[in-house]
Formats: sequence, structure tokens, C-alpha cells
Amino acid sequence: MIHLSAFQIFLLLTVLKIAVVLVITLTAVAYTVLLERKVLGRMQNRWGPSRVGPFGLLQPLADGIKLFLKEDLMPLAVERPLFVAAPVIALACALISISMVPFGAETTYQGVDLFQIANINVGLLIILGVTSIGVYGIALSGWSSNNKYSLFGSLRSTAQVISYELALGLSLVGVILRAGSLSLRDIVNSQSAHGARSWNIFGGLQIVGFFIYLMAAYAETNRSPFDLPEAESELVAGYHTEYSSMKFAMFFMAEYANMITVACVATLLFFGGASSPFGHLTDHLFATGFIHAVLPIFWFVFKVFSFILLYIWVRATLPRFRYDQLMGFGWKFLLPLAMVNILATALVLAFRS
Amino acid sequence: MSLFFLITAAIAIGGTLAAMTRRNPIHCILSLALGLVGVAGVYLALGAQFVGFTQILVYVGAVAILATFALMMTQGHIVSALIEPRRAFSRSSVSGFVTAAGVFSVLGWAAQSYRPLTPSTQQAPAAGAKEVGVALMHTYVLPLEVIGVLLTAALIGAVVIALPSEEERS
Amino acid sequence: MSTNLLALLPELVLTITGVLVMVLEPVIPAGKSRKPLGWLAILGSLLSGLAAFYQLQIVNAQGTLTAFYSTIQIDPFSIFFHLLIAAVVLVTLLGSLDYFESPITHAGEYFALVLFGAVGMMFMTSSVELLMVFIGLEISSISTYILAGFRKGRATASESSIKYFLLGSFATAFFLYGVALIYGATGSTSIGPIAAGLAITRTPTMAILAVAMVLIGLGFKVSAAPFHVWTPDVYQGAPAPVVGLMSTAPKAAAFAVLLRFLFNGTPMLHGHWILLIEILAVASMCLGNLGALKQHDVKRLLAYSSIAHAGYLLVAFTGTHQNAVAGACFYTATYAAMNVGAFLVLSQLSGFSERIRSIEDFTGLALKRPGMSALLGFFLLSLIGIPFTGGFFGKFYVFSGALQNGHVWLGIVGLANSGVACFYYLRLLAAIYSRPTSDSVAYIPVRKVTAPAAVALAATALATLGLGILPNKLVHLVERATPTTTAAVAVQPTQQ
Repeated sequence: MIHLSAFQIFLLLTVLKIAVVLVITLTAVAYTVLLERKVLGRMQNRWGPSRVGPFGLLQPLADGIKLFLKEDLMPLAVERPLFVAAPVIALACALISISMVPFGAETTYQGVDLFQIANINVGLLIILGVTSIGVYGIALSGWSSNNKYSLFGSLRSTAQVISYELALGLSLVGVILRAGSLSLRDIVNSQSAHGARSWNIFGGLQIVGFFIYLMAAYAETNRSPFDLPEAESELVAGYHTEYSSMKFAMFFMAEYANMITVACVATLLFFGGASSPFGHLTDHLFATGFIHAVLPIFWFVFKVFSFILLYIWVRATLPRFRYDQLMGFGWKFLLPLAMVNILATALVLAFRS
Repeated sequence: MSLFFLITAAIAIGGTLAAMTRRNPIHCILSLALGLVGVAGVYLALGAQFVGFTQILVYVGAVAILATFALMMTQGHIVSALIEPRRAFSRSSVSGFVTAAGVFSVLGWAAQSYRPLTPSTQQAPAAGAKEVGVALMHTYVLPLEVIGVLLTAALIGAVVIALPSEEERS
Repeated sequence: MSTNLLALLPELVLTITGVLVMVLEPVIPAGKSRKPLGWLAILGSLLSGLAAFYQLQIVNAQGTLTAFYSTIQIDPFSIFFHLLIAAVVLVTLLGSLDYFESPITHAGEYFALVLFGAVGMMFMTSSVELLMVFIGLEISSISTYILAGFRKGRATASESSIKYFLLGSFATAFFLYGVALIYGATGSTSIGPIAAGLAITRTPTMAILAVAMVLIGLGFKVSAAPFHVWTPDVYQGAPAPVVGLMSTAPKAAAFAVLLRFLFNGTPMLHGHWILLIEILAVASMCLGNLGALKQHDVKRLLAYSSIAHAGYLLVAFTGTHQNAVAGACFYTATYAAMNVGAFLVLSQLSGFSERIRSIEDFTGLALKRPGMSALLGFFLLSLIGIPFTGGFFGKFYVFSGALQNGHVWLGIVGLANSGVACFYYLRLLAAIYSRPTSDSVAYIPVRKVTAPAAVALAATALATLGLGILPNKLVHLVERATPTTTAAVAVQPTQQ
């Protein structure tokens, strides 16, 4: 075997991790779409996609091929460089944030953490920062399309995302205060002591923070009931009206990748990340070996997909907001509530210590 | 000087230069955002992760995007068609360039000849979230609080500008 | 009362009043007069002045107060400026209580912004930390940007506000750049450590550049030439009471910062910055007075006059430390009294709509409004510097300080400029006292002077007169105001 230096091992493993995570995420994106269509179908008393492959399982593949092979239309009046850059920005930002997420318990090989691409001590800040850059994708796509519907869609979306970003960021401050760190690993560790009892949402008393986060996250990802930027009845298809083929697919993927990121962050910050809900009660069953390493991943994926199911459920249930209601809700209700939550958390922490 | 620093510095300078020279306001603000990313990169090169990503979150993700939003809303791109094209050697641009070159050459000379008061063998000061927080809550607690007054005044001002007065309504 | 609370007392009173005004604003039903809020603001500025006076008693008994990790320093110097700012704000509020014609011109916001602006100015004068000075500068600037455009819907008002905003933010950026450079040169943004750092540095080039940048930034705020171009346009479009406020109080605060920064922070570079100050002073005096000669609009004329007065004030900086502080303080006080007075008269004459603006409009004013004309004439005479007015002693102290320190030619330039200035002030005065023409002010209806405005006018007139007849009272206070160098706290390490 060739002898590798520590840095080479680090580099190799990191590239490997990136590749694996990318493949899994993109597959997950594709199958989240299928899951959404299936579940929505069942909720609306119809079948959903069922023709391609067993139970329609090959539907994402067919969709993918269709999008690849479609003609890539580029209207004449668009602002070319920005029109091309916008979907790239959107998808890149959605995917970059995944790299901060710790998927499993800390498991190191040759000093490299296997289940997290980058363990940076300001991980949460990076996720917030990268997500905030993602808005450029939406804003620029609408502006560069040179189409009124696109512009309105992107204006709506940008305003909505900027407004709810405040509530989203502030809702996380309670969690950060409790963990005393911005590192996602530390935040997970701070709530893994006694299983579900010490999760931030229960033991950490961050239930208000969690609901603010949940609602702000729905708005951030432009999902129902906050999907005004794509209100078909008013705006055709919103900011991606002029996009076709792979460029459209990139927006589509970005939306679902964002959903997954948001679900990951909710899991990490409020539901103990990859830690088991039973705490150390089940440790003696799988003290060592493969299951011990993989079980946390199972918990993580389970929690994330619960959130995605919730997303779909909400979409099937709730009607769309009116625009002024949306702004009023964000600025006049969520934001003050988030501030009160910070104040209460800080006071409780100050009195306890 | 590391390669990373050179790249980020180039992005910062290139972005801000483009922000000054482009004619379409949207391009200007996007270039500015790029320049701010470059500045954040310089912070990262110095090992100040917290400051760097806060820079991205605040300036790129909030300030610049708000400016973009305002331009899109007010159709700033139409204005650019009304502005006369700038000539490269007009009086204002030449005098501005000469002044800037003078100031920056003096600055560069000052920085080059600069000897720090204390030998810089000590480690770079930590600029993590905790250190920033402690500084804000101790040495700089008064500026932090007074910024509240600043923001209140600015908000009231924004309301005054945005709300039409009665005579405008009628 | 803790030291921290005591040191911030005037600012706290003003902030609380400002917040109260904004909280009570929506309680008053739409369409009703906002005058009660005005009275509340007046009460607040009065209390703030009293608080500053109380601080003076404490400082007399116990010596200088420092608070908030030596960010704030309360000494006779800062208390003098606190009192001055409180007085200017009080008079401005009294004068503008009946200024708003319709009840809905954002009068509540007007009072709150004036109060918040005053908070910023007070912080500028009392803080010895440049970061804090910058925040104070921003508060006062932002408030005045908005106040300048308060006569909404008029083109000149929008021009005034946007010009002031764009150039003002540019100037603030220069100030901030200077602060950043001085941090690079000395490792601190606090006045004391800056002085200590400069004393031992071997390469002061960066610090010299920093001082130049700070001078540019503050030079803009005090409208010293060549950073004065905004002044006439801004003053022309802004409401008259606001011009009275923003041509005096923020300038006083900026001069206070300059005095502290130059004399206490960078005394090592005295030889360098004195040259810059001389250039600024000569340019301001000459450009201000020559520019005023051509003006027809009275507010523009007074704007150029304020540029010239900034020049006279800068002459004071060439004296010794004690003379400079005393001269500059005395001059700011007299200038505040007479200029606020002059603009109050203008606002009483022409009201919110400001239909009377050019010198021709003032022709024959004395027939119609003898009292107002006499007051305006008195303020103009004081601006010229006629004996028995405050302006005379202001110029006297400034020029004698410069001459004592050997700046003879600066004194000569200043006196020559005072001669030139006579011409345009007297042109306005002559117009007021000449026979009315067919289309002049005589046909514009008379506005009644209300009681609060009368009080304000009387206060400014008495202050101008008092400073001219009994200058000793203020001189005595002012001469004690020389801020002590904070060498004792200078050496303490900034690390915790």
C-alpha cells in the first residue's frame, strides 16, 4: 500500500465525503419530489405517479432525463450572464450549507471526522450566511429575465426571504445561548445527555423558538403556505417563468435541497441531531461495531424525513397567505416573539447559573 | 503573503473597482457584493472566521441584497440609460484619479515604513464569537447601547420620508 | 447615583423624552395639534440643561468624571457644550412650536428627531473614545439629514436633504477612515492612549494622514472651505428653524471633537495640523465672505456667512491650548446665540411656506414689522462684530489668541474679511430699512408672533446682548474649560 501523509489522507477522505454527500443529497432531492407527489396524491384521494417502474419509483429518473433532453431556451431580451448565473447561485448555496451538517455521531478515522464534511466552529453562522446569499439567485433570475411576472415573483420572494431571515436568525439565538457555541457539533452534544428529555425543544424549553423557526423556514424556502412567489394564478410561475431545461431543474433542485437543509438544521438545533431519543438507555445493546456507528445516522435521517413529511402535510392542508398578511405576520408577530424568546431564555440561563 | 490572501484581495479590489465603473446600477451593487465577499475572504485568511462570516451574513446577505431589492423595485436600470456615458478622460475622472493615486501612494508609503509600537511576535488576538461578545458587553457597552438611539432616529427618519404628509395625499 | 448614570444624565433625559414623544404620538388622534408633544420636548431639553448644570456642581466638587471604561469624560469642557446644545435645542423647539401650519406635517417626529440629534451631539462632546464620537456624529447627522428635508414635496427641500445626505455620508466615511488609520498607527481609538502611542512612535506618517482624514470629515460638518459646497443649497431648502439648529449645535459639537482630538489626542503632531488648520481657516473666511457678496436669497447669504464664521472659529485653533479652547468656546456660544436668533426671525417672518426669501422681498420690511426688523438688524450687527454685541467679543478673543501666538498674518486676513463681511450684511440691513417697492413684503400678510416664539427671540437677543456687554461671566467659565490631558488613564493597557 502506498504511504500517504496525514494531509493527503485528509484531502482524499474529504473529497470522498463530498462526493458521497452530494450523491446522497441529490438522490434524496429527487425522491423527495416523488415522495411529495405520492403523499400529496394520497392526501387528495388519488394515486400520484404510479406508472414508471414499480410504485412509480423510476419517476424521478424519467423526469431527470426529460429535463436534460429538453431544449434550453434563452429568450433574446435576457441579461445573459446573470440569467445563467442565477440558477447556479441558487443551487450552489443550497448545497454548500449541507457541508456543515454532522450526519452521525463523531466517528474519526485517522483524525478525520467521517460523518461531517467540515467541522467549523462557526458552522451555524456559515449556514445562515450561505442561505442569505442564496437570495441573490432568486433576485437575479427575476431581474435578468426581463419579464414582468418574473420580476414580481422575485420581488415578492426577495422581500419575503429578507423579512423572515430576521425571525429565523433570532429564533436560533436561544439555542446558541444554551449551547454557548456556534459549532453544530457542540450544539448537538449539548442536547444528547438524556435522550429526548434534553433536546432543545423539550428540555431546553425552546418550543417557541422551534415554532418560530419552523414558520420562518417555510417562508425562507418559499414553501406553502408561503409560496406566493410561485402563485400560479397571479404570476404564471414566478421568478423561473423564463427558465427551461436544466436551468429550471437547478431552481427546482435548489428548492428541495433547501428544504432538506432546513430540515437538517431543525433536527440539529431542536431535536438532538444524530443522537438517539432514548439517550444512553439502548447503548448496551449496540456497544460496539458497525451498528453503533450507523444507528445515529438512522436517527438523523428519520428525523429529517419526519420534517419533510411535515412539509408535505402542511402543503396539502393550508391555503396560501395574502401578501400583506404574510408581511404583517413576519414583522409584527414572529419577530417580536423571537425577541421575547431570546429575552426569556437569557433570563432563565442567567438565573440558573 | 499566501495565495489565498492574494486571491481574496484581488476579488475585493476588483469587485469594488467594478462597482465604481459599471454603468448599470444593478451591476454596480452586485460587484460591490462581490467586493464584500472578498473582504470577508481576507478576514478568513487572517483566521477571523466569526468576523468573516458575519461580514457575509450582514453585508452581502442583508445590506447589498436590500440595495439590489430597492433598485429592482424602483427600476434603477432605466435610470442608467438616462445617464450620459462617461468619458474616460473627463476632467472629473482625471482629477479624481490623481487625488486617489496621491492619497493611496502616501498611504502605501506610510504602511510600508510603519513600525509597530510593540514587536508583533505575540499571537494574533482571538476574534471568536466569545471575544467579540465580551468586548461588546464590557469596553464597548456604551457604543453598543447608543447605537440603539442611532437606529431609532434612522427609523423615525425613514418613516418621515416614506409616509406621505396630508398635503401630499390630498 | 452611580457614576455611569450621572455621567450620562443629560443624554438620558433627552433620550427618554424623545422616546416618550414617539410613544405618545400615536395616542394623540390624527388631525389634532401635536403641540403637547412640543411642550414635552421643551420640558425635556430644559431638564437636560438642568442635568448638565447639576453635573457641573458635581464636577466642581469632585473633579472630572469618567464612566463606561473611560469612554465618557465629564469635565467643564463637555458640560459647557452640553449646556450650549441644550440651550440651542430649547430655543429651536420654542421657536418651531407654532411653525407647522397644518397639524399633520409629522410634527411629532420633528420634535423626536431634534431631541435624538441633540443626544448625538452631546455624546460627541463628552466622549473621549473616537468610536463613540463616530456614533454620536452619525446620530446627529442622520437626524439633521431628515430635518433638512422636512418641508416635503418642495423641490428645494428634497435637494437639500439628498445633497446633505450624500455629501454628509461621504464626509463621515472620511472621519471613519481617519479613525481606522489612527487605530493602525497607535493601537487605540481612545484620546488618551492615542496621545501616549504617538509619543513613542517612530513613524508618525500614518497618524498624520489620519489627522488629515479626521480634519476632512469634521471640516465638512462645520462647513469649512473647501468642504463647504453643500452649505448654501442645504440651508436654502431646509426649514428656517432647522437651519438655525444645524448651523450651530452640530457645528459646536464638531468643534468640540476637533478641540479634544487635536489638542489632547495628537499634540505631538501640532506642527503638522496647525498648517492644515490655517489653510482651512483662510479658505473658509475668504470663500465664505466673497461668496456671500453675490447672494440674493437671504438663507443662502446666511449660509455663506456661516462658512465664514467657521473660518473665524478655526483661527482660534492657532492660539495656545488654553486660548484656543477659551476663544473657540466663547465664539461658538455667541455664534449660536446670534445665528439661531437670525434664523428664528426668518422663520417668524416667512413661516412654513417660506414665501419671503430674497433680499428684494425684504425691502421695506421695517415699515410693516418694525420689531422684527430691529431684531434682525441687531443679529446682523452682531454677525458683523459691532461692539456691544456678542459677535464683537467673539472675534476679539479669537484674533487676540491668534496674534498672541504669533499668527499675525492670520489676524490680518481675518480682520480684512470682517471688513468685507460688513458689505453684505449691511446690504440686507439697508434693504430692510428702505422704502418698500410695489411687489415687496408689504403685501404679504402679517403672521402673529406667538408667546413661545417671542420667548425664544427674547432669549437669543438677550444672550447676544449679554455676551456683548458682560462677556466676563462666560469667559470665566470658559477659561476653566480647557480639558485636562488624560495622561493618567492613557497608559493603562486596553486588553482585559
